[in-house]
Amino acid sequence: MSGSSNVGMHIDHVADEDPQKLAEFEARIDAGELIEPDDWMPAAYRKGMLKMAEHHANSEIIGALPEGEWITRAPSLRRKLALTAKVQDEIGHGQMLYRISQDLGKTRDQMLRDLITGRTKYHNVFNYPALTWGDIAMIQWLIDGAAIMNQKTLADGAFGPYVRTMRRINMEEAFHFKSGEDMVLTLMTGTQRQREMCQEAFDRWWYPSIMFFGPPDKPNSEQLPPMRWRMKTELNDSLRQRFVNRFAPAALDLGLKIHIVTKDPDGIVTSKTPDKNLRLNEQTGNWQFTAPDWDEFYRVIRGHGPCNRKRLALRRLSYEQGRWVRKAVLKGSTALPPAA
Amino acid sequence: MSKIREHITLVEGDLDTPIEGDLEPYVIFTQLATGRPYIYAGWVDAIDAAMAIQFGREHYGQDQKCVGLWAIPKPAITAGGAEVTARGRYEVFLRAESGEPHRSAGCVEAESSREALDTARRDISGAAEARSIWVALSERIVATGPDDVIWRLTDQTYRMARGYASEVRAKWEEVRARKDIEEYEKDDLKEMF
Repeated sequence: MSGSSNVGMHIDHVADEDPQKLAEFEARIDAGELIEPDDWMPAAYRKGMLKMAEHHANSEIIGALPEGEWITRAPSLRRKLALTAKVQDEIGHGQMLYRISQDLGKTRDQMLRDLITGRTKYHNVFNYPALTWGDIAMIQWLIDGAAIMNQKTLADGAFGPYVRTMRRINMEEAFHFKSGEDMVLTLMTGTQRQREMCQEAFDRWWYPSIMFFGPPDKPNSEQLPPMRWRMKTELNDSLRQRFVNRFAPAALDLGLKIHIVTKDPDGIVTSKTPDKNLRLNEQTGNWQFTAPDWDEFYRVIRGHGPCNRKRLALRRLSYEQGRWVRKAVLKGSTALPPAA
Repeated sequence: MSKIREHITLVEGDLDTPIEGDLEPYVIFTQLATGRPYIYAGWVDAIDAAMAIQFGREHYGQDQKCVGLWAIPKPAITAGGAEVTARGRYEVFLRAESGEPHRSAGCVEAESSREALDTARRDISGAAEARSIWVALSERIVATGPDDVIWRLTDQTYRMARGYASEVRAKWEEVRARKDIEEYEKDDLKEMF
């Protein structure tokens, strides 16, 4: 799932680098070559790629938490098998992305500890609750759909290990998205109650998925290191527009209504009004829409979303409860589980 | 998941346990059909080769049909860096194009990894033009056995996009047909009254 667009990337200037080597490095990137871990790279590039891969890895393992809660409550055996496989995939993505980050110079244990002590972050979108089975359908349809759009552009990046991992992840994301689409279609062709549940979940997830691609771009984004060095290859706003162009008409076809909502601190919708700006602009071919509430985005990213504390609490408990397993594996000792 | 897990209090601040070590990285190669090359799949972290193979089977062996798996500890792979000075058979892996995964391309007998790289460039087809060559002492490679079943034989379509394609298409047709009927009825009513 996930994607790294909303990781804050402030790359230091590269004045300390050997200008000759830096020029060669940038020429390789311009020529479409991939950078491998053993190749020369600016220190700021290594640091930036580590931050990006680590943030992405964190997002994968935290992103599995809201969905994991629903495995035992899946409505059929097939859905339960699929959701179990999906959660397993997400943890697997985390494992691959932590591996890349380790090769860039940080130990896995340090990354797991930094995550649960709040030193590093994960994708903002996982700070929202999954209240019903409808939310699980929406996460797989909208959020995984957004993740594929984002990760396809990341697979055009320049860092070899990250690019290869994105290709592998996208293969699995295709299943997540398709099963999500099937779940949404099933609900919207179902009973009145199912359609209402689907609409309510859509109201909760539409704006978080529009914000998924990160805040509006700075005017000079294309000249800044993350794009100049092909760590990312597309602007947040153009990804966002492509997402709305793809999903707004699909939602309307399904019979869903697109609302602007207000939510209480627990993420429950307290009021909704139709998005009056939503329409296809025939000239540009783009769907226009009301911009998200970016104050909410920054509030949630600073730790005040509905589920920030809940997600971290569970991850931290899991880390602490898993300690005896890691100890037994690492030390090969006969460390016993704590008494039940 | 139990409801109890939704009410865990977040413990804040640093951990009071010491930093733990990491496991060892192993690279996993998968073989998609008997007699075909082993292709780089990715990495796993494991305590030993047995765990690496087991982990690799679950992690890289279930996305597509897979008949064989190799696991190689990272220090056993040489790409021109640290040299392995052991006489024996070295397996050769080539990356033909920038960004492509390494594929097994044959093996060479050599006194060291350096010699293995030189010999490979001379004797293995495609090696001279390859973007990157890896060599690994064959005895360091751990492999699944010929009778191992990696790809599960039960129906796996629930975990593949194509497992949903026809249902999704049929449901979209239903949704769009319903919409057409609604539009038709609207127009019809307008004309009738």
